[in-house]
Amino acid sequence: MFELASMGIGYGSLLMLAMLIVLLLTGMQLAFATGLVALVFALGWFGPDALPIVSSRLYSFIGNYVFLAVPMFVLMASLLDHSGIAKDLFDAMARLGRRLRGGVAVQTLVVAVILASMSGVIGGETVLLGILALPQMLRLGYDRKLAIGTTCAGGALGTMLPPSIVLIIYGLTANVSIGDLFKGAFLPALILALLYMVYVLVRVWLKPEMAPLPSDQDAPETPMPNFFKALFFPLLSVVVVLGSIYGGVASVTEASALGVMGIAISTWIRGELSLAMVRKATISTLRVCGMIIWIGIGATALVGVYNLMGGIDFVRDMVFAVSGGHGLTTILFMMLILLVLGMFLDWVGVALLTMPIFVPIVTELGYSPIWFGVVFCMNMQVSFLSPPFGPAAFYLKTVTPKDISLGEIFRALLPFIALQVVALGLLIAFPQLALWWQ
Amino acid sequence: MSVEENTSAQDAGPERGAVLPDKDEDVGFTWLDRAIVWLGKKLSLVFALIVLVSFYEIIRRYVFDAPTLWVHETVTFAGATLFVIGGLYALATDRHVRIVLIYDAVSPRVQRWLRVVHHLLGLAFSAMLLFASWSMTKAAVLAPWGDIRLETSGSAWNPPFPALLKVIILVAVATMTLQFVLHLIRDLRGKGDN
Repeated sequence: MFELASMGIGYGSLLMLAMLIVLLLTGMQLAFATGLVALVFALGWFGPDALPIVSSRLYSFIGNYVFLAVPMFVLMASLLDHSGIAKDLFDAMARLGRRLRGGVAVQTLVVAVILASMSGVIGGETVLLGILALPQMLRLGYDRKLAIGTTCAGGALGTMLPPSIVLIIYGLTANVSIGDLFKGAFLPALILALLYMVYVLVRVWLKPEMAPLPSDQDAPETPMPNFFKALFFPLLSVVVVLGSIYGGVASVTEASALGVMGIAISTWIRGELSLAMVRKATISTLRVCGMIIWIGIGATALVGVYNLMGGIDFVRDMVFAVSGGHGLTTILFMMLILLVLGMFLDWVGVALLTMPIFVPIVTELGYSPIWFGVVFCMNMQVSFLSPPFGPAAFYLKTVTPKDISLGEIFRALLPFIALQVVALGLLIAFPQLALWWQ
Repeated sequence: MSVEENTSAQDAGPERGAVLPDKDEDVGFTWLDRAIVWLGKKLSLVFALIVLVSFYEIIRRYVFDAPTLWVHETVTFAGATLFVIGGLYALATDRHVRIVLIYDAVSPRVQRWLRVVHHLLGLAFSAMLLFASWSMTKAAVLAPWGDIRLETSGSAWNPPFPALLKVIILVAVATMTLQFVLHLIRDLRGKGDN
């Protein structure tokens, strides 16, 4: 209609990118901006007959059984957030390192890892830790930055450890087994968490005043609550969920439904389950999925149209031209794009916009798409913490005392971002970390 | 920006509380938004039903070795319906992710005009999508000679879910178009300043 096709794929790509950037900078919703650009190019490049490409991509995107794992894991996390499981977990872990310098920070990270294995999102977890762990560290006189950084980076681990929504979306986009991705991400996630712990311990060992030991009157000897009763079943449900995925017994969607049942039954045993709680959890699931899925719809439509325009081949040739077909250079170039995009776009958008282009290149270069999925997930860890939009910092800000500014949170996160980059480097240098189980 | 819970930076203020101080303050801007929020809150319980039905299927399959024919297709259909409605819900409550770097820095007056631009562009998006969904849905519901013939999934159970889902998409996109129109009217009248 507008004969956009006559401009050629090079200028077409440029125009597309420019339109997208301008629309996003005005503050337009990511989901609608990408969808609009997709429709404009479908119409302008191919004509009105091409518009149904977008609606049929919408249809096939949402009608995917595997995708159902996303709301299930969100619901599981949401139920968890509305229960007292996290608090009991934190209290139970309090005994862990009372005599250890920096013990509360380490305890926070251990709790973060356990919570992350029940939850595939980062919002609730960061907020929970911000409520449970941060005030305690501040009260004990921990170095503020150390306390803030630990809490926030720990909370962001939610999508690194399986189950992880980031890995599910990647698996769907790249067409690789989500179970394999979960297996691959496990060790790198633990390494990242261990790096955090070592960092905390080294810092407080070098400068003990950063983490005062709790004095004895600081620990009122309240009778131990029945942690076994409170925590056995939640932990059992994690074992069942991950075990059934790792063991290849159930599909990811089935495992996610089992996980929701497990947490629901756990909250029932704990005497917390109520219709009101389920309602709150399902409403927040609807809200979250509405956002995630529409960003996905917009992005998948855009990539679909771009692919028909011949754009994916164009980018592929360009990437090879820039990197000279050298494997590591290509990967590093992609990392750079992911890190920059991750600073501005939501991870769902990043995944669906770039992965249909990157994954075929990566596979062509002889790398494992499973390994690359874990690399992508680690990249998104960085994007959760990095300014100006690092979502984990925004989540934490919602529950921190007023005198902690967003700027202070971001500054506190810098060493942790550095650690994430170290973990990313390890993962690229030693792909076996994600593939040892094969 | 991220995605889970509510993220548009304008409601990332200290009063938000995703977890403990529970505030389901989703209200919506216009009558249509409020209707969508009402309906969305009711329908969201279907997520819980999906869990129960999936659990039933897991028990049937792994314990009694008698899998059902209908569960996978039904839960996929129900989930897809909720995904579509979730988009309307997020639009009604302004929870779609956006980059507010510039938006937050300008005066409320300029913000209002930016919103007018968003509504117009959103309207262009939904109108084109409406046209696209119309031709998709028509093909799924009507036979070429004009009789009603619902597209079915082609499985052993063969429910008409594809046709139904496409109708739902069409209705949802039409609703979304109306949402944009109402938001546009609201901001043009200048009622949108908070």
